[in-house]
Amino acid sequence: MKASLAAVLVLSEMLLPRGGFAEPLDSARASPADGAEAKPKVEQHYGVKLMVLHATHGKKAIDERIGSMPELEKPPFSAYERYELLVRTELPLVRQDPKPFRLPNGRVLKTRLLEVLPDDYVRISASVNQPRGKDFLPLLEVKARVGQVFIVAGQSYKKGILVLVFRPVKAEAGER
Amino acid sequence: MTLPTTTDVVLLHDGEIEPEDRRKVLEGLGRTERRHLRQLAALSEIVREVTGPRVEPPEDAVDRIVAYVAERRAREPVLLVSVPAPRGKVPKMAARGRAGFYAGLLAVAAAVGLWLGGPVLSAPGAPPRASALGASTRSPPSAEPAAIEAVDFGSGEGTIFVIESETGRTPVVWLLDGAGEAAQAHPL
Repeated sequence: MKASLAAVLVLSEMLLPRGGFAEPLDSARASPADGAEAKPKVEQHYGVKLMVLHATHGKKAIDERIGSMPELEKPPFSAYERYELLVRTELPLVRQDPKPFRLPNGRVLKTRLLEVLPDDYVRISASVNQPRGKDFLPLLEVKARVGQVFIVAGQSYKKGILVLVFRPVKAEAGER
Repeated sequence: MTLPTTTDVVLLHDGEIEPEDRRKVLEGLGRTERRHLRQLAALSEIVREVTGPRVEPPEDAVDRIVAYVAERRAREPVLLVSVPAPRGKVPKMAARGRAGFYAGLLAVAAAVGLWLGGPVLSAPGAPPRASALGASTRSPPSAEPAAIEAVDFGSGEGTIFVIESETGRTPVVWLLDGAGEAAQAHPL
């Protein structure tokens, strides 16, 4: 067993840096045009469609404005019977100085574009912080393709929790 | 009755505890300690199966473990890991002692958990994902699932897991925002 633990510790040293906890946001790596041929192209803009849901207990009711989300029928989301759509918005994904978005509980969400990857994938970061308070979710980095959903849930709010549903989207210049 | 410490849990897992102490520790195990013990056992099993009974891990241990997890993940339910607010790199081995072993193991659990949501899940043999729900808005089913690549829970705690549904795999970061909500984060 000691051998197992030794292996685990060595692996922890090897794996965690790959997770990117301390990786700087290198603007150089974020250029989608690196190495590309000089050719006319349409600049792509990316954003994140955000739904803020309020999950509470009570008589089962899922706000029809949420649309079809089978994730809400599965644990741990199914522990809450009621889901109400509080906010539906689109946040622009930019590399610098993202515009903060105030959540219903007063915390501030920021999303940032880190990197544009081939095949409509993007690497983005998100953070949730309490103004004049301690960090809550200082860093979250996600690689997702346009249209793929990821969820950040669990913040307490009015006898329930907030469920943030993110979906990266893109729009060509001129559409936004 | 004295509550077991992290070191007690590690010693129990390693079988390096006297029978009388073992009984006391077992009696004192709470929900959290039992969950940690299960995580410890599961990860040790993975390491043993991949590396074999060696004193030092092989150079390709990481690749082998990732491939193993991907293969196993394709045929078993979602692995849920709890992450006790990892911040930065894990401290050096010499400084952490036996309890630190445990922290290191949980850190690996976090790393493996992150990878479970990543491209390795699309290894050959993985079940195909069904057509996207709200197909006009979701990504094509052939795409690799979204992956949480890094997370810092700051001074709090949270859990990372993946929900499988007919639309594919959805990574979830569940924040433990107060004791009242903590229990909801351990559904499996």
